[in-house]
Amino acid sequence: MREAAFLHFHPGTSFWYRHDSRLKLFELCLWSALALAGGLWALITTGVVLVLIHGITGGTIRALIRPLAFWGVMAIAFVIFASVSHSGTPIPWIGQFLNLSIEGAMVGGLRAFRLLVVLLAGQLMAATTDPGDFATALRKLTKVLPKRWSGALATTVSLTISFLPRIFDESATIRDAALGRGLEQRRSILRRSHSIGLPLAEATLRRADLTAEALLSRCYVDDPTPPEMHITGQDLFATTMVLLPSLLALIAQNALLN
Amino acid sequence: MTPPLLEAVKLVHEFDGGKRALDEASFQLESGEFLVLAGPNGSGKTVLMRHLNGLAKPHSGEVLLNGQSIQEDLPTTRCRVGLVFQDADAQIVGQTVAKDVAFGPENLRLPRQVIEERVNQSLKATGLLGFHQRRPHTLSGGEKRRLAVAGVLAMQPEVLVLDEPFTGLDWPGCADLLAVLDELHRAGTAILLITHDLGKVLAHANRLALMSAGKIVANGHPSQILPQVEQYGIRCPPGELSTMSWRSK
Repeated sequence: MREAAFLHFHPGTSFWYRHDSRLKLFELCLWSALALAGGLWALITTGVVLVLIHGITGGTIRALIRPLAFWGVMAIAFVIFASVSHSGTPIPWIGQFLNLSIEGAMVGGLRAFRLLVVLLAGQLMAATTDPGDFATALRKLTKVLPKRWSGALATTVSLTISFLPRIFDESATIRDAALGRGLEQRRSILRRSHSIGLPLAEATLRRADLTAEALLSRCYVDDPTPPEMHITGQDLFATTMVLLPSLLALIAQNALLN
Repeated sequence: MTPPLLEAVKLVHEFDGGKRALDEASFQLESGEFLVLAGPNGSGKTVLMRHLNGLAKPHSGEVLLNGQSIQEDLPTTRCRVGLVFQDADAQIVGQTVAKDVAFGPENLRLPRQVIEERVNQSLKATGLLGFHQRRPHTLSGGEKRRLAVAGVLAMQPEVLVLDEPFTGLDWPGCADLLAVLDELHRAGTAILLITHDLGKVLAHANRLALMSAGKIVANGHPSQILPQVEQYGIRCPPGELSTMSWRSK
């Protein structure tokens, strides 16, 4: 099977892998909230912290190529749409032909930056947390919900994460097979998408069926023996250290604005 | 009289459209036996396998485990009858070798210490000790197949059912897997091996059954059954009749 870089677990030994999954989930929620609702300072600080942790945990630029490519496309769309919808100073040169404003571009850029930080936080969580541990953390954090619901939620999320590389693998195989039979001769993007999309949907469903059978044959249950999880002083210290800069930046910016 | 360990009684399975994949297929597997079930493509071998631990429900007939219908207690059946699928990739669910092997025992809600013991035992039995932290997709085809066996062994099944386990394996991969199966058989695990390639496994079998068009058409000691295999579209291994040393039951 091909290596999946985006939102997929990569075993490792650095301290972030040993960091408690429940705290990681809490940090992900807080970082996402800061990224989506916080000011520019909090956003930049969170981004810097996330890049540093990616580096410390052994994350490589190669592993981030897919999320960055996805983000690049989204960022362009964000900037264009925001530039069109905000009136203001036209962008030099381009503004003469298209109705794009500098203010709008800045708003779009900020939105794109927010998305980048959320993607980095998600990638950090997914790359350093085993889906089984992730499911257990979700199950523990949603204990207030009825047991059936929390079990189903945890199962759905962990299976989806586990299943992603299989879908990437199937799509790459189908694309290779189609290219090997002259797909590039088809000029229409629609026809190309059709040639890959339908077999991919079929293969994904077939693969899902096989995986479900494999799970059932190994007595799959919603609440298996949980992995051992202990929140240690080291975990709490790490959580404080990684969240503190963003929170301080948020407080400082609010204080200055007031 | 002690009932057979695993028994299929007149199993019928029909696909949508009425085509019969299994047509009153019956066979028995005794405790500690090594049975090879052979048949051409499309003869219903894989469908039969799916019935053996309740993944498929027959239209008529039943599967008995120690004389009890498996439908009465499917979770226990799935623990006692271990399936190794043809596509090892579909069976591997863990992110590391150790996590994948632990998947079954975790579902049985065993204590963590017992799970770790079983993981180590299974990896040792399949020659994968030391692979704990390897990512499954970085293993070779033969290693993946052995990992699939290890994942099933960790549930300590009484019967191990393998569907075309040698597909896509080179000779060293086949030899490694056969050595694992031999060892398990010696330790008392009953093995049902489904294949259309008799050459690799016949020397290890106690009994050979042939399947054609959804029926078990022949069943007995390999020396008695081998002369019939070619009429059912299965290649007879060259020279096997004269040179092979058969296992006594």
